Amino acid sequence: MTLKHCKLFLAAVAFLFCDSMAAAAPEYEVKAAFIYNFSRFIDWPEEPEAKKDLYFCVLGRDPFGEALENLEGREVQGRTLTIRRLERIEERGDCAIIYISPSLSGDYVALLDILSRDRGVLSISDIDGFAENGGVIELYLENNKVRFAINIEAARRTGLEMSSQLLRLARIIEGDGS
Amino acid sequence: MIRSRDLSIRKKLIAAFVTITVVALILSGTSLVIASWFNEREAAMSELETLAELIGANSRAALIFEDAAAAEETLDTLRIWPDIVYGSLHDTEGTQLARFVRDGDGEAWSGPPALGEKSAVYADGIITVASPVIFDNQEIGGVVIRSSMQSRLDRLARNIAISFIVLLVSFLIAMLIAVRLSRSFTDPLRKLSSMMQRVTEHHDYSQRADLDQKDEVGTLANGIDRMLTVIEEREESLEKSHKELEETVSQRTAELLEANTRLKEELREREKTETELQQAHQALEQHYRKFSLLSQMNDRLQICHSIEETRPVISHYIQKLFADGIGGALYTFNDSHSLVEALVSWGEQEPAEETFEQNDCWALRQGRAHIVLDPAGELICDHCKDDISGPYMCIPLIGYGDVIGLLHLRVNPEWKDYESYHATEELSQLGVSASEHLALALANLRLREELQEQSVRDPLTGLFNRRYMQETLEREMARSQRAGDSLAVIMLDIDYFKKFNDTYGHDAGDTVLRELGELLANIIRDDDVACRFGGEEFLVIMPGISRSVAEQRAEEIRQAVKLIKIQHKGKRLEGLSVSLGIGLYPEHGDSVEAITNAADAALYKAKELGRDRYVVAKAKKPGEKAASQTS
Repeated sequence: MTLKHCKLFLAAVAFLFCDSMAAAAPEYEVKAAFIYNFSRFIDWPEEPEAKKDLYFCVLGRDPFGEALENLEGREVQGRTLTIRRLERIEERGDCAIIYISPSLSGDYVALLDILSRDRGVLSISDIDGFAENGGVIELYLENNKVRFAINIEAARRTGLEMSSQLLRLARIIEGDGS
Repeated sequence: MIRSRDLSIRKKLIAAFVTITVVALILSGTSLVIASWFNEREAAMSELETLAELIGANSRAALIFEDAAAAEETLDTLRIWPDIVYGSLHDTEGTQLARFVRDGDGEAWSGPPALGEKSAVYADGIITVASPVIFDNQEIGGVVIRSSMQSRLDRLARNIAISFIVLLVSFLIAMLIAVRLSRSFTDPLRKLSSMMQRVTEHHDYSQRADLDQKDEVGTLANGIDRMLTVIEEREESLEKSHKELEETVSQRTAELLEANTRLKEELREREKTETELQQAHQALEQHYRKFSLLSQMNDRLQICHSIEETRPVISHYIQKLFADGIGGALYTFNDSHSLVEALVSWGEQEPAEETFEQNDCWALRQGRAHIVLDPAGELICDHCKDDISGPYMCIPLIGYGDVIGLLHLRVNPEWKDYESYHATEELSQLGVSASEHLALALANLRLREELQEQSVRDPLTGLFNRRYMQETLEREMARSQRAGDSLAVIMLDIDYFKKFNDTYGHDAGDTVLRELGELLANIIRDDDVACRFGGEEFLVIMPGISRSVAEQRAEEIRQAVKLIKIQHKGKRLEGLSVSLGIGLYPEHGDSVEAITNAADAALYKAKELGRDRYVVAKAKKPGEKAASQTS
């Protein structure tokens, strides 16, 4: 074997290894990063007094584990990302991002109904059919990769402005599920 | 190689104009091209940077969410820029997320990813721009775009081509303008220069440029015209003065030539005069010398006693007088005047004839000088016709009206002054002069000799008289005594002399005496002296003779007398004889008297013995001798 072939072989091995690493990455770490990154491409409606903190609230059982700890305190559009864990929807307060855990997959339509009256709330969940049913962003897996779908109508209704770049990456859900 | 200063101004102007234009165009074109090239590159780079930023901005979400499809979609927009050959997106780790490769450009670029700083690099016709993607002040990845400069290069090439065409057109226009412009300069200049050439070649200062121009050339032409006018005027005046000068010069030359000729003539004349003067002076000197010689000769001749004595004197002086190729002889008549005999002769051309007759010489015949310049064409005297080869002259010597001799001069044809008539003239003058002097001197001498002879000679017989005999005998005896020589004396007497007087008359005796004297003079030797002793007695002195010879002579005389035939008045006188007595020295004494007495005694003895015979005296006794001396 020549040196060139050897190099090609090594490169191929490295690629496969990297791919398997990605695939092996914990799903919720990626999802946590996604959620953080969504916040960077979304403009919340202006409020009279700008809040210093951007609350990321997890409703239901927290599937992220350690991953969320990494996000705590990060700067997003001049605001500090702060993690809150909610037991009930009523505790939501001025949460800007509400993640609905798959543990609440039976009740999420009702929860969405509650949230639909709120302004400037980004609802995210990896429950299947979340976006079609009025959720703003639904995370899902495709070919072992995390993808997302956006319900533009829902986003518009709650007053969020999505970046076109973000929209281009997402599977767009039109129409109102409710 | 053509040097620029040899080119015409026209060509220089054109060359300068065109060169400047072309250089300016090339410089500006080149700088334009270079500038536009850099501008283009800069523009391309900044364009690409902007594009890279744009792509980066549009790819933020794709990068963040690692969405390769979206990233590729974004990169695919690069397709609308045909120059862009490559584009890629990568994350902060350098892992490539997506890339764009222009179709047909085959292999993809695999340069380093853009991290941290923006960069724009141009290499091999391709600009590579790398730009990091920043999101929320955070680097989230990078964009690399590569763009070919080909189309820009093509455009540049097109621009260069256009520039070149513009250059060409400008060159042509510049050329045209230069030609027109230079013509406007050089035409009048050429006109001026050709005019100046005409002026220089033909010296025609009436030429004018007459340029109707107000520029510098016009001013120059006007200046030259004005200068030519001034030159023309000066030329005219110069020519005028030159002509005047030439006239003056030629006049002066003629005058000088004339003066020179005059001077030469004068010089020649002066030289001639001088030569003549010198010649005259020389001639005078010569004359003086000759005449002083003549006078010297005359003085010497004056103190000569006889003609014979003159011989060395004449010989000495005549050779001095007639030197230089002249020879000759001096002839004198002999006693009987029948012949001339050479007294003196001298020179290379010494005459052969020692004696000749009077008729043999034309001078002697005519009694005046006979001068022959050309022996071939004139009468030649007989005496010299055999040995003459050049001019000669015979000058008679005339003394007291008688011709007494002849001066014969002959010129050597080899002589350097032979051709000169003057010399001949001079010679004849000198000859005449010399002849006169000689004639006078010789005539005087002859006269003196005659006078002397008249005193020592017996006039009837022409023989010496008794007194002379006495002197001579004494002198001869003294001489014989000194020399120890002998001497004889013959005394003779005519037999029966009275008979002739008685028979034929008184004159007959004189005739007999004269005839006998003549006979004696002829018969005796030169050294002998014959004298009339007295009456009819004669005496002959014979020096240096012995007894026997004396006797022999006496006998000869006796016989000769017997043979004389004497005519007297038509009658023949006959019966003449003589008796002779011989006295001898020293036998018969040592005095004149003793000898003559002895001879006389011997004569009487002969008479006694019967006459017509000779008798030698008897030797005397010593006593008698003494007695005779005393008596």
